[in-house]
Amino acid sequence: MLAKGELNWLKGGIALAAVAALAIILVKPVGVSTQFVVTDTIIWKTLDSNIVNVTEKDGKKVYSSPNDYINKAHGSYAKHASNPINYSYVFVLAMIIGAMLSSMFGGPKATQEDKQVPEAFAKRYGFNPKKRYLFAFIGGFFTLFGARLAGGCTSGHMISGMLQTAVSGYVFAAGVFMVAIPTAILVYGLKTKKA
Amino acid sequence: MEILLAIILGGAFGVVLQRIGATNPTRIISMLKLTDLKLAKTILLSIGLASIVVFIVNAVAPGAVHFSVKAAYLGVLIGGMIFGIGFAIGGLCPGTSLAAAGEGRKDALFFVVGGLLGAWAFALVYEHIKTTDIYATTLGGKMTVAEGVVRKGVEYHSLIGFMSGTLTAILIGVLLIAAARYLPSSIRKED
Repeated sequence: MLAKGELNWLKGGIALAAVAALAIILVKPVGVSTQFVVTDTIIWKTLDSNIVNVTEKDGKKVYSSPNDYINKAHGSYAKHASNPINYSYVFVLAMIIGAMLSSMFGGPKATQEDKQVPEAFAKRYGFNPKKRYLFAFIGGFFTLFGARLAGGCTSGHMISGMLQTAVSGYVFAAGVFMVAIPTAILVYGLKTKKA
Repeated sequence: MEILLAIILGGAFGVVLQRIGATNPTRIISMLKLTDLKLAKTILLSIGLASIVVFIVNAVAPGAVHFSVKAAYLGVLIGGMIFGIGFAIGGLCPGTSLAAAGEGRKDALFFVVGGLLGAWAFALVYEHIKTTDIYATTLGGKMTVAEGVVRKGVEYHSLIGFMSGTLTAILIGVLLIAAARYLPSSIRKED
């Protein structure tokens, strides 16, 4: 069943393919989860100014961090956190605005209830916003922890990785669905709460 | 110029995620429960189609595509499994949570905050695991299935060397599109 304004799999798949292909042809593969680390670094360095160090070498700025992860890849997270107006960060900010505009102009519209407790959640646990927020928070924690361990998420590994036929993309997808399918059936299937 | 492209491509990505229903946790949860596979069909089609387009462009204009292949190591599998837990419980993923927050979903904000903390927790854990088997066990490293995937003049190792990478990628692409086409709209009945 298709909500009003929602694209069917054929049209939607073509539209998503166009964005993913254009991105890698014109600039770089799409990716999102890295920007969570960049945002963390931006917040972290306002709380602790030692977390990002800038030195100059041969007239070029060199970024580093006492945290091994932020320091990874020649301090690239530290660098991007110091210069958030870069392609990848703006891409993600624009994505948020794109989704907002889409929901206002022609895209599927969620009801006020659904914006707090999505239907699939309410079906199993009733209309319980606090519980849903807790589940969403825990879900976010695991998802981003896992994505950083894997070095990418649905966008970077699954869409961008698999379209390049990257072995890592298939490995990631296998790991995700192997666990996500039984988990979803356990958590949201099996028993239905009568409304 | 790059920033302009970021606005256009990022904006388009957000519009498409919203229009295909990927920002709706119900769609993701139903996909994982196997009761509504519409989103899976959409994504399979998009990967297959984009792959074919990209490899044809790569064949016509070698070096034009900005390939960037991530390494495969044990952490990709384990990370994927941990991701799978959160994906199922939260019904969102990093990209769709931000887009869902953009369309005004309050629960998505909690997912995003949890995600920021999860990524931060990983930054704290990293130094203790970076020299372990999680990183040391490569599952092929930066490797592709199709040959001819080149980044900055250097070709990635590939699994299939006996036929052209373009042909391999097109075959895989066709398989993914066929999977999208023939996957039923549901495998399990709603409980």
